[in-house]
Amino acid sequence: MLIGMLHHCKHPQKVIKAYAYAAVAKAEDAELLYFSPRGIDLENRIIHGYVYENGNWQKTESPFPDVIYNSGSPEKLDRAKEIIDKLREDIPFTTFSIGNKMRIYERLRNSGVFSPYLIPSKIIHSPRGFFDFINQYRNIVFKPVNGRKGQGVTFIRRVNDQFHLLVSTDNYDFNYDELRAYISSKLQEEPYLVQPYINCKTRSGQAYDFRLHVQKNEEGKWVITAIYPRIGPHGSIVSNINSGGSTNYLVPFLKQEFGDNYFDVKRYLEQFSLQLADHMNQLQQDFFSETIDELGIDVALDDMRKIWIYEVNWRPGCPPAFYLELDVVRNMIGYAIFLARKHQAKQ
Amino acid sequence: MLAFNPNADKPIIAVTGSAGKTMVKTMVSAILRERWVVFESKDYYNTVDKTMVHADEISFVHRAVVLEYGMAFPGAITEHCQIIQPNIGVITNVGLAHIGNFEGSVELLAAAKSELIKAMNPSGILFINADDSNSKLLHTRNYKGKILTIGIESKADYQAENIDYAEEGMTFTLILRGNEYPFLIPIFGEHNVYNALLAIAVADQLGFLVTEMQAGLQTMKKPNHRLAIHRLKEGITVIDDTVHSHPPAVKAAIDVLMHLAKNKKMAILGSMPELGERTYQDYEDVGRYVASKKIDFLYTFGKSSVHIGEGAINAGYPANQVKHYKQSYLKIMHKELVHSIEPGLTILVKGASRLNMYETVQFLCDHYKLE
Repeated sequence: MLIGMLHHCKHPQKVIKAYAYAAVAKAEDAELLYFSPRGIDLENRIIHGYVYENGNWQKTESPFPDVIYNSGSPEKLDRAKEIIDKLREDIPFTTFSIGNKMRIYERLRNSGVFSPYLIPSKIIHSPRGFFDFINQYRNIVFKPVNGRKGQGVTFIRRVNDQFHLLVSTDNYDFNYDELRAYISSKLQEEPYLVQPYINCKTRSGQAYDFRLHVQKNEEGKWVITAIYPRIGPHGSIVSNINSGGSTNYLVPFLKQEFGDNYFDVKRYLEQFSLQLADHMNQLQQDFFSETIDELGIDVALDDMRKIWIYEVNWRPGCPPAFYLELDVVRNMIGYAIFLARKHQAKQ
Repeated sequence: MLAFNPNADKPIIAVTGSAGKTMVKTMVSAILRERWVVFESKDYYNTVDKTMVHADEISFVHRAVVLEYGMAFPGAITEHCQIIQPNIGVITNVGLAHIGNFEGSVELLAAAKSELIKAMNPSGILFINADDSNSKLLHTRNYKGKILTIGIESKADYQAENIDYAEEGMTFTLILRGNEYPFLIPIFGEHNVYNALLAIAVADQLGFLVTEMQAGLQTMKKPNHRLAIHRLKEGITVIDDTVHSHPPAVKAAIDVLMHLAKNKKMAILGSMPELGERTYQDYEDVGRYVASKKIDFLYTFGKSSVHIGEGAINAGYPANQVKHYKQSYLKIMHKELVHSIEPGLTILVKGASRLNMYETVQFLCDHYKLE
């Protein structure tokens, strides 16, 4: 069993996680072949790539792999779209980009099943639209439609006639004119959307949200890799770990917040994660005949214990704690083997 | 019947009353937004037509709804409630606004406001002002839900003490379940302490913490032209209160003038369009109030406002300190005003929005602009 790991970087030395994938593949009785688009030789059905042997990445020439884990940046890989599309005709891929935040939002909303859980999101075209929105909601999230991993996410709070901004870890106080100029300049750079900020607070008054991390496993079924709270620093309306917040294991956190009801809340979060992942997968099938393998869903839980979806991230990367790195890789390798076998059986 | 439970049902808060509706709505929303996503109706969107629009706009994302129900005619509030039935009702006070549409009778006005009590959720919560004597005319006896009161003078469920004017607004102490909490609100006038008490009471019933009330009231957006303070050159101060005008509001604005002015004071008072038959006695009453406060200059603007001057003069106010202008004489008033204005003067401009007295504020702000 040969698993290809496709990445935009030429050499695996720069892709730290490649080592973990190679190691887990070996442990699961498979081999990992790392390669970039430049190493694909369609004519001879050969790939110039790397395998990890004897403590080093060794250059190798290999036949096509049985399955491809397409890693790396979709934008950077897109330059080699034609070649990659050719590979896709023969070899199963583990995942496909599910599109930007607004596309995901609209797809979910239109399908209806999860629309009551979606935080309203609106693309902003002008400062005027922005101010209408913040005047209605007071605490809002302003973020790039195409942003990844929390980049460019800005929390804005109106206080009197002033505006407090939190851009990653930096605080700014703007008056109306300054904010107008700021928003104007941002809108010229790229499209942005706004959402009301759903305030999800711990008993001690700290803002928090949950990251629901789900993956497909070796049977092709969705499993929960991790659910963890992200807790903001005191006085911040933001739960972003990058802004001085923290995280915690789920169960002690739920016990602290929900007492005897912790188990119900845990079940609710788990069921929700799996059902939403299934639904997203179905949508991807219906719209593109593609599959997905890993999602990171950011949700708030309001005081009525209703879940609110901030966003659904495709391939969210490893959680920053809990030694989950290997679990993520193991699920991925297991799922890749599952896909390869399914593909072989079909032929 | 089960009592309204804010943890199971969406709180729908309707604010009605003669004065302070918009302010209470703004304050309640400001506090609730400390924790929740709130639907708040836009300022002055308080007609039945607007309530129909709001019914469409309210969505599942809103954890609470805060609306202002106007009652320009008998039956209006019943209609509002048929479109959106509140489970929390707030009646700010029963004053004389729109009394012209109620045969000049306070009892009929109170009856119209009582429509809220009859048409809201019968197991909800109703808040009233214990210091407002006309509010005793409200038909509360048959209400099955919870009735809670706010007050400064009278004993009430939510009580304020130590009311004072500070540089940035009003300070007061809230007495809540035996504890005392300091409050600062970023706007002036004792009537706004009542408005804040109503907002605090609603928030408390919904489980909000005092710290959230204090923080929320600090973040509220100050409404335009409602006792807005403009500091101009040569120590001249203008108090812009050019949205609504009826006798209690005029007196409240004069009180703010008295507290803020360090030197001489001027009041520019407009006519009060919705007074109905009580016109004369109410205008003269305002005039007597001006006289009793020894305001240095009294300007009146708009036809009926001439009776304010008459009331003042009858109460011993010097006739040479009174000037009256018809509505078409706005520019002339502006020209002549300048002759009376001296450094350090504090000027109250008060009138209903339809008189466009904001133009006078704008004129003063331009004329005495800080360099």
